[in-house]
Amino acid sequence: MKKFELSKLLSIIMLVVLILLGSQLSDSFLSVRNFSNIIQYSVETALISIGMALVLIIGGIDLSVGSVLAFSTVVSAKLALAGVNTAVILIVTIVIGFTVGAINGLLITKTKVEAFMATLGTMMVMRACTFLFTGGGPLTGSIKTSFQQIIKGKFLNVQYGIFYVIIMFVLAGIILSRTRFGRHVYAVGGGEETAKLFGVQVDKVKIAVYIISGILAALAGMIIAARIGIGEPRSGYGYEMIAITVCVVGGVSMTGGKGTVTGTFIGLMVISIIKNLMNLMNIDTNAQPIVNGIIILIVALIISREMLGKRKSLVKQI
Amino acid sequence: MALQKNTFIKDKLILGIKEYMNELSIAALIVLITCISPLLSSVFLAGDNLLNLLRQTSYTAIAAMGMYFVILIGGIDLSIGATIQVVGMVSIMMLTSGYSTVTTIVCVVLIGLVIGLVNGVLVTFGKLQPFVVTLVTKSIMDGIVLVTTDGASISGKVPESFVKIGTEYIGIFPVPVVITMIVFGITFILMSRTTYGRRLFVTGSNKVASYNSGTNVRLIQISAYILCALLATISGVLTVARIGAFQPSTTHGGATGMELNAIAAAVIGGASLSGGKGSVIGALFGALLYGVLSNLFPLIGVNSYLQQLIQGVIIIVAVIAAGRNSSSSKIKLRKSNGGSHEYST
Repeated sequence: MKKFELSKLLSIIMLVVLILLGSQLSDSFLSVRNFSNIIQYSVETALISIGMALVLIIGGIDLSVGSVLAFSTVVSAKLALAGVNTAVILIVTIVIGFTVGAINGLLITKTKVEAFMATLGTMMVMRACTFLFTGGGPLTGSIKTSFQQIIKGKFLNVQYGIFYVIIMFVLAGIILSRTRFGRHVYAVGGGEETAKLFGVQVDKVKIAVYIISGILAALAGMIIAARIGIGEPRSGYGYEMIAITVCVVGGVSMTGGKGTVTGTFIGLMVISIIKNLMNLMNIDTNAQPIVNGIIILIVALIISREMLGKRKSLVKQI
Repeated sequence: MALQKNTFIKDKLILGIKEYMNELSIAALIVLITCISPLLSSVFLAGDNLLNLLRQTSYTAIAAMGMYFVILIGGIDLSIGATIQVVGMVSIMMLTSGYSTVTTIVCVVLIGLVIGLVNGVLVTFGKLQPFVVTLVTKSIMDGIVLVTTDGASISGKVPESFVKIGTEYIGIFPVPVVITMIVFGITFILMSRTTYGRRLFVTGSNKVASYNSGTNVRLIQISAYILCALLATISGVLTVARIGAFQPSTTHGGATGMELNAIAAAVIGGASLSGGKGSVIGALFGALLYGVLSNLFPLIGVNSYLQQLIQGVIIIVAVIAAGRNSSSSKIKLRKSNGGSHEYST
């Protein structure tokens, strides 16, 4: 008989418990409207979490996502205020994400800097660039409605955000589980040396993953600009923490090689529902980091306990 | 005989220079900046400004020396910025409600101890990554500070004796600078002259070897986190004692506080996130270089955001440089040096 593994089902159990809890606590919780709102407002987190999941699977980390998001927010707000076409803004945003992601990837692969330090550096640099770009304060003005429509618009009475989330997760799922690139990502995360011996171009895979993470973060920034209608240089603080929380809750391993897109989606739902419940129950938003912190800690502890049980033969004391 | 002794001293000197190459190059950079500073700003070399610079640096330097211990054993502590906040908040709250300075300091030191213990225990016994653990404790403490203060500052009547810690001078030096020097002296001796220091080093470079040689690896790791939190506590007390009031940081969430400066200082000073590298002097000099730059930039009219950008670039360059010259020669030198030292005693 297969041994019961709590860590695999943990996120689903949490999701079920949260939905049951929510339906008891608030009448408005179990409505289509509330759930479509939950997903509509989780677009940015979804984008960043998918990127973070990929980065974590290859055994890296990307701390720069919050700052990339902020930079692309202010740039796209500036362009939108100047009346630039939305397609052009999209291209500029992708270029920003690509550039920062490529810098991260090159620093990590070519100069052998730890992912943590490299992305910490780009995080500081990009945050500073953001403030330099706006001169400190937010960029305000009247943004064209056509730009705001990219997130506020509806198709067949369903908010665009829901389509974005579904498309992104399906796409990421297909890439990770059905393509050669996806298998290479897992191979690199499972063991770089082995992957190299089997002919995987480890450096290229790594750079590609950081580029994807950068582009997704930049797209999230563009969506934030469209959502709030101003270019706020302070946006995106703590997003790396939220994305890591989503991934860890969703069963993505921080040591690489493990994690699925489905898991990340469930993790996203868990974190978004918690946020939604706290809002419905009027809990101080300042308390949210405390709750998130405790959740990530409990989940990580449960997972690491099980991992420990699996490899008893290794030196346990250290 | 005399000749032999001479070459011996010469060898030791060369070894010493090679061993401390990184520290010496930072020191040279600081001296260089100081020498060309009169060309850039007439104010920089004034006595008042230099003392002010030292005072500003001391908060970072103390935190950086604590961070050095954690980085040395291959960990990281992202919670020190939040620890400084909690310590500041608790001490002002206690002082304004009538507790004495001594009681308050004892209390916040205990808080620091507990924070360090929690971090250490979660990392070692919980088998969690230091990065995750300390990010979580940071996030929880940030939340606690925001919920308690609601983002507003706390002020009130604070005893004279507490404010003196932050504002008094001993001789010509401000108290925080003197405390930094004392902390440096203690940690330096700890690292270079005690078994405990050696064990920290070995644990950082190779946990299995350290375990096999009879070190209690878990205890050593926990002690490093406690040391780090305690030094952060000192830094926090000195910071609030300067102003006599507590202002919660507005840039909550994300790693945007003192932890970044401390990590930057330690890494510029030669510490590597994979552990087993760097020195206390390096962390101190790293903090000093950071302090000199953040003091000089506003004087020569560099915008504060541009300053952040330059500091970010400096970190990246420092890490790349550290990766280049770390080709294990330094470790070998340190080991052989340590060996000869043991034989000679």
